[in-house]
Amino acid sequence: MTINSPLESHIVFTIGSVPVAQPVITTWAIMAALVTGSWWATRRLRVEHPSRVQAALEMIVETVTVQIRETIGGAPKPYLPLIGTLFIFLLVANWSSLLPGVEPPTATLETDAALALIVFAATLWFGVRALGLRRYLATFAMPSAFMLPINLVELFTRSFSLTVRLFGNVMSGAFMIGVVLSLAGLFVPIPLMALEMLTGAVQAYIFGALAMVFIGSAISEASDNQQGTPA
Amino acid sequence: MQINWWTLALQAINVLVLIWLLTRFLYRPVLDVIERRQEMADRLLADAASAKSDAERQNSALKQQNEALSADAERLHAEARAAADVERGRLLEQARAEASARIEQAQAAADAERSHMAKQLEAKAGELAGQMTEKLLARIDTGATFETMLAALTARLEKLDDADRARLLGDDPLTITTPAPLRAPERERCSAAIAAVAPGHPQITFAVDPALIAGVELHGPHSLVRNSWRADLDAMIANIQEDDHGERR
Repeated sequence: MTINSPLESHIVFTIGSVPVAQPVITTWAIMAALVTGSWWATRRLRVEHPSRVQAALEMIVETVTVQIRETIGGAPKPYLPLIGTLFIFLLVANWSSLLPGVEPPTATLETDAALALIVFAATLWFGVRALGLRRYLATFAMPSAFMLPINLVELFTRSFSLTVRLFGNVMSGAFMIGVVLSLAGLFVPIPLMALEMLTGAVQAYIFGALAMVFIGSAISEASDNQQGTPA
Repeated sequence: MQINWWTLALQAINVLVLIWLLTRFLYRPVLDVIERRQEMADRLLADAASAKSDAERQNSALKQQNEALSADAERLHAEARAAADVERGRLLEQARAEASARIEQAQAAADAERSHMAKQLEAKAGELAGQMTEKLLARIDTGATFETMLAALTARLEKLDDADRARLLGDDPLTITTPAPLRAPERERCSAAIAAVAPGHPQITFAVDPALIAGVELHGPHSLVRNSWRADLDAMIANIQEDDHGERR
């Protein structure tokens, strides 16, 4: 097994002038699996006497809904597709490293940056939609105009921190498993892989929770400049 | 380190497409079924609330009915109690009357028994007195007794008024009764005594009655002159009885 540099994406093929890297193909596979699984699981939903799969799906959706309601406040339905998809995709993508020969797409900087970019855009979108453009922009100057540069810098740095946090954790885990696997054989990396499962789940939860916090702070005028962001 | 912008763009598009696809195939169906279940639960709750409201209304109506029945029961109970009181008073009065009647009846029976016993005792006392007198007379000279009683008869005849004397003379025959048979001289003396009071009387007969104890009595169809100890004892017993009745009253 060869270990590629985690900072480089391996181009598998090109479509015209567009290069298609390995993380993109892995993402497509994950997307196909998630969509197919969702279609299969939701094809026979029943109001009464739900199946075990349906009950599990409802529990997941209800859990995410409750988290959104408690963190953002208000109706959770507009935020559920974004937050839920981020969590599910990140969980599956992080755990995909457990499959032999699969490099998780979240171990590449481009994927994490794309996710952070989406959270950044969603924060702006939900903020403007909730407060209006003028009031939302005014929140950057709160509690005083002197805070405007700091708030603007924070807007970008927190998205950057999202990227770096996810990339660093997942990439380091996958890289370490690869190194140990190449040095110590088949069974030695198993404890590290279990740890990687925990790390992947925690990172997915943290990414989704931070996205909720950013969106919640954007739509909450009062708490916009008072709510700190985790490092 | 170099960022592949095409990869970044493709991954962003991929995630956006995934959001849309999962919304279409996962969130919307699951949310729909959750919402339908919630609506069903709300409907069941509404039905339950309606049923509860109906039950409370029926409970209220039953309570009112129960209160009305309780009031009726109370009224009927009061009426029954009043009727029972009246009946009890009537029975009590009847029992008292019966008891009083029985007491009076027993009192009357006791009085009658006592009167009967008193009469028996008096008769017994009279009989005893007669027996005692007879025993005493047995120790006395009968001739002297005869003389005394004949003198007493003569005195009584002499005291008769004209009407009584005429009625006595009209009786025929006149009978002289003594406790023991008289001898001839004694009969002649009796006839002489009668003749002295009622001269010319046609017929005089003699009779014996030991119950007289002592004495000489004159009997006619329409007249009677008692002059014996028996008559005296009867008079004394009658006086004693009159005294007893007077004391009881």
